[in-house]
Amino acid sequence: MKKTYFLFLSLLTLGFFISCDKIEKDNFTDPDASFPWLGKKVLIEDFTGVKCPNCPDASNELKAIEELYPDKVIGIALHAGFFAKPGGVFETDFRTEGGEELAEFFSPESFPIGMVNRQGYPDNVLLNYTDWASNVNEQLLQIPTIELSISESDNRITIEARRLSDGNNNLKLVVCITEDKIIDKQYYYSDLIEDYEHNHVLRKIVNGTWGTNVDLSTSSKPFPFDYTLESDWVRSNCNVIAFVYDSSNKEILQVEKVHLTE
Amino acid sequence: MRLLNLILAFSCIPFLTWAQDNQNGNIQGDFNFSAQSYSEDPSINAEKVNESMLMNAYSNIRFNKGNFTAGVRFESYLNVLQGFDSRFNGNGIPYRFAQYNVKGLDITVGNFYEQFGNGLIFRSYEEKTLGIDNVMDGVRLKYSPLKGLSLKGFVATQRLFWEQGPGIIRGIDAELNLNEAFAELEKSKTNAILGGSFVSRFEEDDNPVFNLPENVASYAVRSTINRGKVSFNSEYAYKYNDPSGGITYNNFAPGNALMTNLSYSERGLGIILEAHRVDNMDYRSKRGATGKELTLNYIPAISKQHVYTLAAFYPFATQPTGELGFQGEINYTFKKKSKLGGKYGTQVAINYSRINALHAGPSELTINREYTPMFISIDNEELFFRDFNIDFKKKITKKVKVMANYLDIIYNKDVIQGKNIGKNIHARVGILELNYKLKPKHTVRGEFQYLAVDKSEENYSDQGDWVMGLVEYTFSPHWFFAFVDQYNGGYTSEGKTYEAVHYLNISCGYSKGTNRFELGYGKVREGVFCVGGVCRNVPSSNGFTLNITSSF
Repeated sequence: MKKTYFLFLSLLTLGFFISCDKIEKDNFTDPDASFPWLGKKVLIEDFTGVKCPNCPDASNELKAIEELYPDKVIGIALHAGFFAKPGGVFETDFRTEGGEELAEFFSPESFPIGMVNRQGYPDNVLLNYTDWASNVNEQLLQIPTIELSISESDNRITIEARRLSDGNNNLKLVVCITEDKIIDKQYYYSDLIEDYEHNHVLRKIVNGTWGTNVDLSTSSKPFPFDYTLESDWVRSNCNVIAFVYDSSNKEILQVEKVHLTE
Repeated sequence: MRLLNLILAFSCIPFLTWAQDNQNGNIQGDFNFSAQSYSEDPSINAEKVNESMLMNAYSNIRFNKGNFTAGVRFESYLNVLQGFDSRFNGNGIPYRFAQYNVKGLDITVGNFYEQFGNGLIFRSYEEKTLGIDNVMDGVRLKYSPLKGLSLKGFVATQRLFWEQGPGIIRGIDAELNLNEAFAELEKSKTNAILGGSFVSRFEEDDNPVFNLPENVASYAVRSTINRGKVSFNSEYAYKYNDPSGGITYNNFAPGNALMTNLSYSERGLGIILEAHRVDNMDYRSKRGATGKELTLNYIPAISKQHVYTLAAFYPFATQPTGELGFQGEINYTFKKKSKLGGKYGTQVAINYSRINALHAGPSELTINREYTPMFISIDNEELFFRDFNIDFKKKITKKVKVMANYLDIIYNKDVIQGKNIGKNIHARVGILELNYKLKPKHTVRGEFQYLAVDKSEENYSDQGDWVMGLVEYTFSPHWFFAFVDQYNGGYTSEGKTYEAVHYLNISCGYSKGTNRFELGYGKVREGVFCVGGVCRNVPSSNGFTLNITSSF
């Protein structure tokens, strides 16, 4: 009888020991990250702050994801909440009304945290930055349902949008302006970096935090918006980002970006 | 028709069984309700909440008959109290289980809490006051095939607020009591228990750049040896590569933890010496989970858990990613009628603990760097926490008891609370408590506490000094009334000046049988609340509190 127990025990233990994967150093990364892309782009919104010690880790991750999927991933840094409040050595206020409203609505409790196409609302919309890439990967494989394009001239942005398949969900369009390459202070763990390069910084949501209702069909429709840049924004570092989301579940269905030129 | 009868007959079985059980089995339950109102109070940065009041409540109900037990817990957070994660909001039954035991085989289906050894690789537990509930959901078996040998095993997922985490956890634990298992050791003066455990987490790898292990395993071995007045307890744990980063950084280094504890105790004297070293042991049921979410293991705290309010002002939170800690404590009772013992004896406890970083941080194994810290390194390492304290208790007369405490604490706020100050806090705390029995059943208790921070350039003065007074009147067994004032003289932080403020609080309680009601009103100071080295931030607030507990 005893023998049976020991046999049972050793088999079980063996089974458990097998359930362990050890990755060797020359095999840490998987060089083949290519996949079939059908045209859906992905927006990462990064809740951040100049006083948040580990937020640069998330910013670096965002940049790396953009580089991994060139022209398919778009980032917005939302400086909001406690860590973004100026005070002490931090004089510049990167907060915006729109960013604060989004933070109020999605209620991030720990920073850094972000949203990938605002998917998973309400319970699972906030994702740790370490989960962004895998979520982006999953979203990029989806079939796009909306087509978007942006044109800009003389302080007027025109968005052309259409549905790629029939649908009757309520859609909203948001247009915003971000700025890259802003040199200012940032905490990085215990270091205060005086000349940190802030990218993707949300400057303004042109048509209100929750955007404009748009009634789209399969034929393209233009939506014009006038905008102005503040004097301290560097035009050549600014971008116009437009996205369409489903107002019932907040999920972003398509996003597009153009870089402003002089 | 026959089929219908059959269905009807079967559907009656649960009711029949219920009726029978109801006659013989027993049902137990408990209930806990905490509500608070929140008013705006700019003097302490307290904000009002849109709901005006918030509530946390739960009730456990457990049915037991013979070898069978089943239970549920209903939880309600409408909406959750401030300082807890808002993902708790809502109602539900996150805990239900059935358990029975047949000939030594114990089977649990549904939810269960479990711990292997000291918890270094696995501890599933709940601590409502911290907002922690990492209960498992699955199947657990316990069996004792031989005298002295007990086995436990499970396969389960873990609770994440109202959902389950993505990882599937498998665990097995064996414990052998040598004195029970081997007849020749039965009468030995030395008792020894050996144990070993293994845990593995499965989570799919969907990282587009890195190859992450889908099965992350850990194991631990432990022993407890007692002989007479001496006891020695130790455990070593190892965790295989558990990278949890995104696409910019992943650390493939394994983790390990070692803890030892030596104690000596005899009448009137107790000595404990402890040490632990933890490297890369943040083990969770989901890669990259943060905060108090989905923790699989628990590193026991290696500093004294203080109870007095200002003694617990700067509590240490265990750093599972890496720390080296030591603790020693001596408890001594001066005998009755001795010079220092007086008529009733005097108890003295001296405790010292010190925790520092591992040399140049925890182990790291990335594409660019491979690093393993020195095993023991104390000098010149970043200090996380140091606490020297003396505790003194004495009954002076039949009616008067005195307690006094002195603490000298160094606290690294940057590491413990994730701040960026660059200096440690050095605090000294003095506490005096007096207990006076007015007449049978009537007791008055007073506390005076003072916390002074070192204000020299070398240290960070944080919020400056605090002073606290408490008067409590107990009319047992039903009533108590308490009045507390915590006073801060004001301070300047990040260029902002905070005025002096009194945190006044009054409360009263009534209990009858197992029902207990407690009503309070006043200001709550912003702070950190810890249990066993795990902490929660408490925001400042102003309002009424109502707590009700009951059980049957």
